[in-house]
Amino acid sequence: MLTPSIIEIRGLDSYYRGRRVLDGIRFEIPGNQVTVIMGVSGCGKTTLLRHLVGLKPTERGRVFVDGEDLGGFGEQKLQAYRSRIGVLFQSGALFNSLTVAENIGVPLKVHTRLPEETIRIMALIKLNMVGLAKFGDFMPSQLSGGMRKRAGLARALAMDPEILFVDEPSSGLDPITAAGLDRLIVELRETLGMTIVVVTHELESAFHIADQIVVMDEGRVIAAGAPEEIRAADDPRVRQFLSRETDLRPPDLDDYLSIILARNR
Amino acid sequence: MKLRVHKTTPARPVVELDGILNRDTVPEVRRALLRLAGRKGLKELEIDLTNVRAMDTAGVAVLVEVYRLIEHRDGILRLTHADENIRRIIRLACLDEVFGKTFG
Repeated sequence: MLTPSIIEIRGLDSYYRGRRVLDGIRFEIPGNQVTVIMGVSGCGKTTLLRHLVGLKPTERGRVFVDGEDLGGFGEQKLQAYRSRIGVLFQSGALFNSLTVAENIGVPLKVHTRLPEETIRIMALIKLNMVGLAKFGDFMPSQLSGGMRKRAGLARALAMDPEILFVDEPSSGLDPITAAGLDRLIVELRETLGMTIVVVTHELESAFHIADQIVVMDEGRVIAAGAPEEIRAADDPRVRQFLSRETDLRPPDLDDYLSIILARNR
Repeated sequence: MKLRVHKTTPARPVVELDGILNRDTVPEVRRALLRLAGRKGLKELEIDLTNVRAMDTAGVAVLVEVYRLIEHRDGILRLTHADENIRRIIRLACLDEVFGKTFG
Protein backbone atom coordinates (compact mmCIF):
# COMPACT_ATOMS: atom_id res chain seq x y z
CA MET A 1 0.00 0.00 0.00
CA LEU A 2 1.28 3.45 -0.90
CA THR A 3 1.79 6.13 1.75
CA PRO A 4 0.43 9.72 1.51
CA SER A 5 1.85 11.78 -1.34
CA ILE A 6 4.75 14.08 -0.71
CA ILE A 7 4.83 15.52 -4.25
CA GLU A 8 1.90 15.99 -6.61
CA ILE A 9 2.30 16.89 -10.27
CA ARG A 10 -0.84 18.32 -11.84
CA GLY A 11 -1.22 19.03 -15.53
CA LEU A 12 2.45 19.92 -16.04
CA ASP A 13 3.49 21.09 -19.50
CA SER A 14 7.05 22.00 -20.42
CA TYR A 15 8.62 23.47 -23.52
CA TYR A 16 12.13 23.44 -24.96
CA ARG A 17 12.86 25.83 -27.84
CA GLY A 18 9.17 26.08 -28.55
CA ARG A 19 8.70 22.30 -28.67
CA ARG A 20 6.44 20.70 -26.07
CA VAL A 21 8.47 18.10 -24.15
CA LEU A 22 6.00 17.47 -21.30
CA ASP A 23 2.30 17.26 -21.97
CA GLY A 24 -0.18 17.36 -19.08
CA ILE A 25 1.91 15.27 -16.69
CA ARG A 26 -0.16 14.19 -13.70
CA PHE A 27 0.81 11.75 -10.95
CA GLU A 28 1.71 11.62 -7.27
CA ILE A 29 4.90 10.61 -5.49
CA PRO A 30 4.17 8.83 -2.21
CA GLY A 31 6.41 9.37 0.81
CA ASN A 32 8.89 6.70 1.98
CA GLN A 33 8.58 4.80 -1.30
CA VAL A 34 10.65 4.31 -4.43
CA THR A 35 9.02 5.80 -7.52
CA VAL A 36 10.64 4.87 -10.81
CA ILE A 37 10.03 7.04 -13.87
CA MET A 38 10.65 4.99 -17.03
CA GLY A 39 10.54 5.63 -20.72
CA VAL A 40 12.68 5.65 -23.83
CA SER A 41 15.42 8.26 -24.27
CA GLY A 42 14.02 11.69 -25.08
CA CYS A 43 10.58 11.03 -23.59
CA GLY A 44 10.92 13.92 -21.12
CA LYS A 45 12.09 12.08 -17.97
CA THR A 46 15.05 14.34 -17.22
CA THR A 47 13.03 17.49 -17.96
CA LEU A 48 10.42 16.29 -15.47
CA LEU A 49 13.16 15.70 -12.90
CA ARG A 50 14.41 19.28 -13.37
CA HIS A 51 10.90 20.55 -12.59
CA LEU A 52 10.65 18.35 -9.48
CA VAL A 53 13.89 19.67 -7.98
CA GLY A 54 12.96 23.30 -8.71
CA LEU A 55 15.57 23.88 -11.42
CA LYS A 56 13.08 24.54 -14.19
CA PRO A 57 10.21 26.96 -13.65
CA THR A 58 6.71 25.66 -14.38
CA GLU A 59 4.97 27.45 -17.23
CA ARG A 60 1.71 25.50 -17.23
CA GLY A 61 0.52 23.13 -14.52
CA ARG A 62 1.74 22.80 -10.95
CA VAL A 63 4.15 20.80 -8.81
CA PHE A 64 3.04 20.63 -5.18
CA VAL A 65 5.42 19.69 -2.37
CA ASP A 66 3.62 18.83 0.86
CA GLY A 67 0.60 20.60 -0.60
CA GLU A 68 2.46 23.83 -1.46
CA ASP A 69 3.08 25.07 -5.00
CA LEU A 70 6.80 24.70 -5.75
CA GLY A 71 6.48 27.36 -8.47
CA GLY A 72 5.43 29.89 -5.84
CA PHE A 73 8.42 29.27 -3.55
CA GLY A 74 10.57 32.32 -2.80
CA GLU A 75 14.35 32.04 -2.45
CA GLN A 76 14.16 31.13 1.26
CA LYS A 77 11.58 28.36 0.78
CA LEU A 78 13.47 27.05 -2.23
CA GLN A 79 16.65 26.87 -0.12
CA ALA A 80 14.74 25.01 2.61
CA TYR A 81 13.37 22.57 0.00
CA ARG A 82 16.85 22.04 -1.46
CA SER A 83 18.21 21.16 1.99
CA ARG A 84 15.59 18.38 2.14
CA ILE A 85 16.52 16.85 -1.21
CA GLY A 86 19.50 15.13 -2.77
CA VAL A 87 19.95 15.10 -6.53
CA LEU A 88 22.13 13.01 -8.83
CA PHE A 89 22.11 14.10 -12.44
CA GLN A 90 23.38 11.93 -15.27
CA SER A 91 26.75 13.67 -15.39
CA GLY A 92 27.54 13.28 -11.68
CA ALA A 93 28.70 16.94 -11.75
CA LEU A 94 31.61 17.07 -9.28
CA PHE A 95 33.86 20.08 -8.59
CA ASN A 96 37.18 19.29 -10.28
CA SER A 97 39.23 21.42 -7.88
CA LEU A 98 38.11 19.48 -4.77
CA THR A 99 38.94 15.93 -3.70
CA VAL A 100 36.16 13.38 -3.92
CA ALA A 101 35.58 13.49 -0.12
CA GLU A 102 35.55 17.30 -0.16
CA ASN A 103 32.95 17.17 -2.93
CA ILE A 104 30.71 14.99 -0.75
CA GLY A 105 31.11 17.45 2.11
CA VAL A 106 30.02 20.50 0.12
CA PRO A 107 26.26 20.27 0.84
CA LEU A 108 26.98 19.66 4.54
CA LYS A 109 29.23 22.73 4.71
CA VAL A 110 26.63 24.87 2.99
CA HIS A 111 23.52 23.69 4.83
CA THR A 112 24.62 22.57 8.34
CA ARG A 113 26.65 23.71 11.36
CA LEU A 114 28.48 20.38 11.53
CA PRO A 115 32.20 20.58 12.27
CA GLU A 116 34.85 19.60 9.70
CA GLU A 117 35.72 16.22 11.22
CA THR A 118 32.08 15.07 11.50
CA ILE A 119 31.59 16.08 7.87
CA ARG A 120 34.70 14.13 6.85
CA ILE A 121 33.43 10.98 8.57
CA MET A 122 29.97 11.40 7.02
CA ALA A 123 31.60 11.76 3.59
CA LEU A 124 33.54 8.53 4.14
CA ILE A 125 30.36 6.72 5.22
CA LYS A 126 28.63 7.83 1.99
CA LEU A 127 31.62 6.93 -0.16
CA ASN A 128 31.65 3.48 1.41
CA MET A 129 27.93 3.09 0.64
CA VAL A 130 28.68 3.52 -3.07
CA GLY A 131 31.81 1.36 -2.97
CA LEU A 132 34.37 4.18 -3.10
CA ALA A 133 35.70 4.20 0.48
CA LYS A 134 39.32 4.20 -0.68
CA PHE A 135 38.92 7.07 -3.13
CA GLY A 136 38.14 10.00 -0.81
CA ASP A 137 41.53 11.65 -1.41
CA PHE A 138 41.40 11.23 -5.19
CA MET A 139 40.59 14.11 -7.52
CA PRO A 140 37.50 13.62 -9.74
CA SER A 141 39.75 13.57 -12.83
CA GLN A 142 41.40 10.42 -11.45
CA LEU A 143 38.11 8.49 -11.43
CA SER A 144 36.45 6.58 -14.25
CA GLY A 145 33.04 7.72 -15.54
CA GLY A 146 31.20 5.08 -13.50
CA MET A 147 33.14 6.01 -10.36
CA ARG A 148 32.35 9.70 -10.84
CA LYS A 149 28.70 8.75 -11.13
CA ARG A 150 28.85 6.84 -7.85
CA ALA A 151 30.70 9.75 -6.20
CA GLY A 152 27.87 11.97 -7.43
CA LEU A 153 25.40 9.64 -5.74
CA ALA A 154 27.43 9.81 -2.51
CA ARG A 155 27.21 13.61 -2.70
CA ALA A 156 23.44 13.42 -3.30
CA LEU A 157 23.26 11.31 -0.12
CA ALA A 158 25.51 13.61 1.92
CA MET A 159 22.67 15.24 3.85
CA ASP A 160 20.67 12.01 4.41
CA PRO A 161 18.01 13.72 2.31
CA GLU A 162 14.34 13.20 2.93
CA ILE A 163 13.80 12.99 -0.84
CA LEU A 164 16.42 11.60 -3.21
CA PHE A 165 16.22 12.16 -6.99
CA VAL A 166 18.51 10.10 -9.19
CA ASP A 167 18.80 10.27 -12.96
CA GLU A 168 19.98 7.05 -14.62
CA PRO A 169 22.00 5.75 -11.64
CA SER A 170 23.14 2.60 -13.45
CA SER A 171 24.23 4.08 -16.77
CA GLY A 172 27.86 3.30 -17.49
CA LEU A 173 28.15 0.82 -14.61
CA ASP A 174 28.98 -2.86 -14.81
CA PRO A 175 26.08 -5.21 -13.86
CA ILE A 176 27.48 -6.06 -10.42
CA THR A 177 28.02 -2.44 -9.40
CA ALA A 178 24.59 -1.54 -10.81
CA ALA A 179 22.97 -4.31 -8.74
CA GLY A 180 24.80 -2.97 -5.67
CA LEU A 181 23.29 0.48 -6.28
CA ASP A 182 19.81 -1.04 -6.59
CA ARG A 183 20.31 -2.74 -3.24
CA LEU A 184 21.51 0.54 -1.72
CA ILE A 185 18.40 2.38 -2.95
CA VAL A 186 16.13 -0.18 -1.32
CA GLU A 187 18.22 -0.06 1.90
CA LEU A 188 18.00 3.74 2.04
CA ARG A 189 14.25 3.59 1.76
CA GLU A 190 13.97 0.89 4.42
CA THR A 191 16.56 2.24 6.85
CA LEU A 192 16.20 6.02 6.56
CA GLY A 193 12.63 6.10 5.24
CA MET A 194 13.75 8.13 2.23
CA THR A 195 11.37 9.04 -0.56
CA ILE A 196 13.28 8.11 -3.71
CA VAL A 197 12.60 9.06 -7.32
CA VAL A 198 14.65 7.18 -9.90
CA VAL A 199 14.67 8.02 -13.58
CA THR A 200 15.78 5.06 -15.64
CA HIS A 201 15.19 3.00 -18.72
CA GLU A 202 16.71 -0.13 -17.13
CA LEU A 203 13.70 -2.46 -16.92
CA GLU A 204 15.20 -5.08 -14.62
CA SER A 205 16.42 -2.48 -12.15
CA ALA A 206 13.08 -0.63 -12.22
CA PHE A 207 11.02 -3.69 -11.36
CA HIS A 208 13.51 -4.68 -8.67
CA ILE A 209 13.48 -1.41 -6.73
CA ALA A 210 10.13 0.26 -7.45
CA ASP A 211 7.08 0.57 -5.23
CA GLN A 212 5.49 2.64 -7.98
CA ILE A 213 6.35 2.89 -11.68
CA VAL A 214 5.43 5.77 -13.98
CA VAL A 215 5.87 5.08 -17.70
CA MET A 216 6.33 8.08 -19.99
CA ASP A 217 6.13 8.29 -23.75
CA GLU A 218 6.55 11.41 -25.89
CA GLY A 219 6.13 13.72 -22.90
CA ARG A 220 3.02 12.03 -21.50
CA VAL A 221 2.37 9.59 -18.67
CA ILE A 222 0.95 6.49 -20.31
CA ALA A 223 0.82 4.29 -17.20
CA ALA A 224 1.37 4.63 -13.46
CA GLY A 225 0.96 2.08 -10.71
CA ALA A 226 2.54 -0.71 -8.72
CA PRO A 227 5.04 -2.90 -10.65
CA GLU A 228 2.51 -5.73 -11.02
CA GLU A 229 -0.05 -3.29 -12.46
CA ILE A 230 2.49 -2.04 -15.01
CA ARG A 231 3.39 -5.60 -15.98
CA ALA A 232 -0.32 -6.27 -16.55
CA ALA A 233 -0.97 -3.02 -18.46
CA ASP A 234 -2.57 -3.49 -21.86
CA ASP A 235 -1.54 -0.13 -23.36
CA PRO A 236 0.32 -1.07 -26.56
CA ARG A 237 3.13 1.50 -25.96
CA VAL A 238 3.69 0.15 -22.44
CA ARG A 239 3.74 -3.40 -23.77
CA GLN A 240 6.13 -2.35 -26.49
CA PHE A 241 8.46 -0.71 -23.96
CA LEU A 242 8.37 -3.70 -21.62
CA SER A 243 9.03 -6.16 -24.40
CA ARG A 244 11.79 -3.95 -25.84
CA GLU A 245 10.24 -3.92 -29.28
CA THR A 246 11.57 -1.30 -31.64
CA ASP A 247 9.30 0.93 -33.68
CA LEU A 248 9.12 -0.05 -37.32
CA ARG A 249 8.01 3.46 -38.09
CA PRO A 250 9.96 6.05 -36.04
CA PRO A 251 7.68 8.66 -34.41
CA ASP A 252 9.59 11.52 -36.03
CA LEU A 253 9.50 9.99 -39.54
CA ASP A 254 7.36 12.84 -40.90
CA ASP A 255 9.92 15.41 -39.71
CA TYR A 256 12.73 13.35 -41.23
CA LEU A 257 10.98 13.02 -44.58
CA SER A 258 10.22 16.76 -44.64
CA ILE A 259 13.89 17.53 -44.12
CA ILE A 260 15.38 14.97 -46.51
CA LEU A 261 12.87 15.68 -49.25
CA ALA A 262 13.09 19.45 -48.67
CA ARG A 263 9.30 19.59 -48.66
CA ASN A 264 8.98 22.81 -46.67
CA ARG A 265 11.55 24.85 -48.52
CA MET B 1 18.30 16.73 21.99
CA LYS B 2 18.99 16.43 25.72
CA LEU B 3 22.07 14.92 27.28
CA ARG B 4 22.24 13.74 30.91
CA VAL B 5 25.36 12.37 32.55
CA HIS B 6 25.15 9.95 35.48
CA LYS B 7 28.50 9.57 37.17
CA THR B 8 28.06 6.13 38.61
CA THR B 9 31.82 6.34 39.09
CA PRO B 10 34.07 9.02 37.52
CA ALA B 11 35.86 6.36 35.49
CA ARG B 12 32.60 4.84 34.21
CA PRO B 13 30.03 7.54 33.47
CA VAL B 14 26.70 6.86 31.77
CA VAL B 15 25.30 9.37 29.28
CA GLU B 16 21.63 9.36 28.42
CA LEU B 17 20.66 10.91 25.10
CA ASP B 18 17.07 11.99 24.63
CA GLY B 19 15.61 13.10 21.30
CA ILE B 20 16.72 12.90 17.67
CA LEU B 21 20.43 12.58 16.92
CA ASN B 22 20.83 14.11 13.47
CA ARG B 23 22.64 16.81 11.49
CA ASP B 24 20.69 19.53 13.34
CA THR B 25 21.28 18.27 16.87
CA VAL B 26 24.79 16.78 16.62
CA PRO B 27 26.50 20.20 16.98
CA GLU B 28 24.70 20.60 20.36
CA VAL B 29 25.86 17.33 21.91
CA ARG B 30 29.15 16.62 20.15
CA ARG B 31 31.35 18.84 22.30
CA ALA B 32 29.94 17.43 25.56
CA LEU B 33 30.37 13.84 24.35
CA LEU B 34 33.95 14.41 23.20
CA ARG B 35 34.83 16.21 26.42
CA LEU B 36 33.53 13.26 28.41
CA ALA B 37 35.23 10.68 26.17
CA GLY B 38 38.55 12.50 26.42
CA ARG B 39 38.50 12.83 30.19
CA LYS B 40 41.58 11.61 32.03
CA GLY B 41 41.07 8.37 33.89
CA LEU B 42 38.01 7.33 31.91
CA LYS B 43 37.86 3.55 31.55
CA GLU B 44 34.42 3.03 30.13
CA LEU B 45 31.71 5.26 28.72
CA GLU B 46 28.16 4.04 28.37
CA ILE B 47 25.85 5.92 26.00
CA ASP B 48 22.26 4.99 26.72
CA LEU B 49 20.20 5.30 23.54
CA THR B 50 16.82 4.30 25.05
CA ASN B 51 15.27 7.68 24.27
CA VAL B 52 16.92 8.34 20.92
CA ARG B 53 13.90 8.31 18.61
CA ALA B 54 15.84 8.64 15.34
CA MET B 55 19.40 8.93 14.13
CA ASP B 56 21.02 9.80 10.81
CA THR B 57 24.61 9.46 9.60
CA ALA B 58 25.62 12.65 11.45
CA GLY B 59 24.70 10.72 14.61
CA VAL B 60 26.77 7.75 13.45
CA ALA B 61 29.68 10.09 12.67
CA VAL B 62 29.72 11.58 16.15
CA LEU B 63 29.66 8.11 17.67
CA VAL B 64 32.69 7.27 15.49
CA GLU B 65 34.50 10.33 16.90
CA VAL B 66 33.69 9.29 20.46
CA TYR B 67 34.75 5.69 19.76
CA ARG B 68 38.11 6.79 18.28
CA LEU B 69 38.92 8.98 21.24
CA ILE B 70 38.13 6.26 23.75
CA GLU B 71 39.88 3.52 21.78
CA HIS B 72 43.09 5.57 21.62
CA ARG B 73 43.14 5.58 25.43
CA ASP B 74 42.38 1.85 25.67
CA GLY B 75 38.96 2.59 27.08
CA ILE B 76 35.63 0.98 26.26
CA LEU B 77 32.54 2.52 24.65
CA ARG B 78 29.21 0.81 25.25
CA LEU B 79 26.07 1.74 23.37
CA THR B 80 23.06 0.46 25.27
CA HIS B 81 19.40 0.08 24.34
CA ALA B 82 19.94 0.85 20.66
CA ASP B 83 16.68 0.06 18.88
CA GLU B 84 16.45 -1.72 15.55
CA ASN B 85 16.41 1.55 13.56
CA ILE B 86 19.67 2.66 15.12
CA ARG B 87 21.24 -0.73 14.54
CA ARG B 88 20.10 -0.63 10.92
CA ILE B 89 21.71 2.72 10.20
CA ILE B 90 24.91 1.51 11.84
CA ARG B 91 24.75 -1.55 9.57
CA LEU B 92 24.08 0.70 6.56
CA ALA B 93 27.28 2.58 7.43
CA CYS B 94 29.06 -0.82 7.62
CA LEU B 95 30.07 -0.08 11.21
CA ASP B 96 28.25 -2.97 12.86
CA GLU B 97 31.56 -4.77 13.30
CA VAL B 98 32.82 -1.81 15.33
CA PHE B 99 29.68 -0.87 17.21
CA GLY B 100 28.17 -4.35 17.37
CA LYS B 101 30.74 -5.15 20.06
CA THR B 102 29.75 -2.04 22.00
CA PHE B 103 26.01 -2.81 22.12
CA GLY B 104 25.06 -3.56 25.69
